[in-house]
Amino acid sequence: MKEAGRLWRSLVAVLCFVAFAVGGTLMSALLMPLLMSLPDPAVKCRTRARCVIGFCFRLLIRALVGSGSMRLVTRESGRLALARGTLVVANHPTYCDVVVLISLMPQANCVVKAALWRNPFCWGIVRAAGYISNASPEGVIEACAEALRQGETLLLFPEGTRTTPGQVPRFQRGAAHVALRSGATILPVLIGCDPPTLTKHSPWWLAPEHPFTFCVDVGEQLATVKEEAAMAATPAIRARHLTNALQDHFSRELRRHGYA
Amino acid sequence: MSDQEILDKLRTILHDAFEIEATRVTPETQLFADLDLDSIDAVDLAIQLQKLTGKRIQPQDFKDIRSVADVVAAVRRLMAA
Repeated sequence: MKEAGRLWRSLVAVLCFVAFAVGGTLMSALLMPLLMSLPDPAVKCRTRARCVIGFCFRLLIRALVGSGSMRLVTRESGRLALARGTLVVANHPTYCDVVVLISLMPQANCVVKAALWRNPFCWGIVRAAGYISNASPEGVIEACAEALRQGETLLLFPEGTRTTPGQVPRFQRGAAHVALRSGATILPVLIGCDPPTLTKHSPWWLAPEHPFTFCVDVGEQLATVKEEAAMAATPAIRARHLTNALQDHFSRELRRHGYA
Repeated sequence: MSDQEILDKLRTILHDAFEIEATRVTPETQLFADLDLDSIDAVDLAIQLQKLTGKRIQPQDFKDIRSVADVVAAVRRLMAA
């Protein structure tokens, strides 16, 4: 019986990936170019594209929850929907992170790795949504800061890539540079996934032994850590202090919630 | 400027810009692996070295730099040029 459950959930996982691939390919090739060709201002096209992405991600989550593959627990997720011009930072244990977070704040911008600009599933979507490419290290920081100054909310995973669940995260300094350069408020989001699934080390088509519980815990704005870091002498040192403070916050809170 | 003098200047730059203790900086030290510099820091460092040498640094001058000794050698070459 237990094996049958796992087989079912693995099947759901495969179907979700197939839906993502087919849906992404069609949207990249047809829907998104259509949205971009409308005679409306670029911002409006971006807003519509992000609406479509949010809708698809909510559908994907509904399939995962409805099939019994995933249990979704959110705390204070309303803060994400209300955030404007805010830098949302989260740890990054699984593929699901971006799907769940974007479904909770569909109009947010995010950094997408440059390779996905040439990926057959994503190329049209990332362009139409006006997401930020990480092609150049200096360019991406400025583009992020500019998006925040324009009032967009931006989602960043300071680890830069998915990391081993259960381990204390190790942050790169890009997110801190963005926060300091833009002056945006920082909203920390803790993500927990138990049992771990869709990690760097697990096969994507095999569901975990038990249905997984995915927790999204939206914290309070981190004002003081930024003020303290902003006292240091040079931008590089300020970014180091802020990164350390953020990393301490996440290590402490992830342990406190039992996510790491 | 001798290699030792360049190294001393580099230690000062690394300390003032990145709070890196001078004792951690030896010719064998790897900038990215040991001192945890990133690509944004590399741009900052290049600007500081431009000030030190008074020469414009081209990206290709900096492309293959990994260790402190590489930086010292690059600065020496720039100053001789």
